[in-house]
Amino acid sequence: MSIELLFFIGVIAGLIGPYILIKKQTLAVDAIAHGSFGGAALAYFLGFHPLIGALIFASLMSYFLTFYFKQKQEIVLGLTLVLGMSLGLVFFSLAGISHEEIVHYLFGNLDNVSIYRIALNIITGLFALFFLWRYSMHLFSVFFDPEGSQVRGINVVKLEGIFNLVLALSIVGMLSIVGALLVSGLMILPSLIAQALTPKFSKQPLISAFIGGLAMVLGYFISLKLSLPTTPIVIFLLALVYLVLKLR
Amino acid sequence: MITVEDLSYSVLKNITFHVPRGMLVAIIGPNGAGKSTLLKIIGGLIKDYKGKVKVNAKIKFYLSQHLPKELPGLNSEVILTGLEKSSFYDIDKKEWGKAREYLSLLGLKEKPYDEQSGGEKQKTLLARALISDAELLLLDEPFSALDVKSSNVVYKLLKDYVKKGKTALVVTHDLSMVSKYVDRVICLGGKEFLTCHVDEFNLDTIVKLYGEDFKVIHHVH
Repeated sequence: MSIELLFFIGVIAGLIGPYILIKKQTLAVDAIAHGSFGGAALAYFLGFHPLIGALIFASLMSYFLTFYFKQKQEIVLGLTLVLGMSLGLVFFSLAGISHEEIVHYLFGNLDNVSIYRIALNIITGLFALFFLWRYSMHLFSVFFDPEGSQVRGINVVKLEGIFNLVLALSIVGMLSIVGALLVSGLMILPSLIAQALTPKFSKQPLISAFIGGLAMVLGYFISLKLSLPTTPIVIFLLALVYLVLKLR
Repeated sequence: MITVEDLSYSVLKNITFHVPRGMLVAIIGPNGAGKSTLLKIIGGLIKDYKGKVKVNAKIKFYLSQHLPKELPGLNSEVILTGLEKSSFYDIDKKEWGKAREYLSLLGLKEKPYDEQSGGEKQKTLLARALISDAELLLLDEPFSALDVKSSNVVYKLLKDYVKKGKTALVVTHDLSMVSKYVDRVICLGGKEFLTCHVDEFNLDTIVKLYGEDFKVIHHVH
């Protein structure tokens, strides 16, 4: 796993974060991540590549998020989260996968990352960069004022749908590298730090992306030195910086 | 600009009226009379009504009563989201200047949106509507948190706005401001449906609308 790719993953996670905060959808990130974990396990059990299962589950989740989960979203997402996790543990166990590998799925692992996953990260990442740059203001409008945006002629469903899909695919890309349990931290913490550093929304994604990338690289070297898993160290680093900024 | 013929939907029954261009129109009436519903129908958010609704405006802007109280970003950025452009990174200096001009017109300072009071947030959202330059503004109770001075400022801005040949429909409960500023009044929820020129808007109309227990209190100075 190259340092450049780690930096890139951190950048994309950081870039998406501020939009999740306007949308107030932190829980959706966890639900997609855990649901995809379940999907990966189911596919593996049925003899397919786990990435296929994760992609199908995540795409379905983004579809339901766009069209159906409008009311009682918290309950639906909370249930998806625990169901996905349970499904994952049951089917991975049934398929005879080792506990160590399950831990990798949950907390991330930088070894043996498949070429498909690397390609998925690069393609969705580049698309996310373009999309969030071009539509930053429309997305802001759509997330806080969907009715007003619709009246003005912005295609609310299309923008929201594409955003949800980008989010879902990015999460799947990061799934086994960052870990299903920790993806949301990597998306949210850099954007919270960016919010603490500047009140200007248009600057937050840039700062958040830079912090995300930097934290991944720093966390990687620290974890090598201490022989500990990388993502938890990254989350610790980010949480520490956030706390210091908030307490100053 | 707007032609409504025999419109029926939920509490709205057989409503017919016409609003020409360049008018500031107030929609008044008791709670639950269908004022917000009427705005949503004109805005195209509700489609399964009976009757005819024709709106001749390329760009419409609708300001809902129910927007989130918390938002990241500066108040000037929230105002900028009223523009047509799709990206913050395409905003030029002139547009930033315009957003800041609205802030000062409304007596606001540039600061994080969340650090503003309820009234200041409402003024920010009104500026977001005004900067849109839409041909038709549909504003649902935009003055509910404003003090008298601010309401006056906003009404004057709306008057200037409609002078450019644009139209604004405003749902409000403040009848004194209605008689002072608006051109026409649409009254919903009374015993009969009324639209009138503001000069014809008098005590009789109000009694018809809100019921007989509406009393006039004469101030003795």
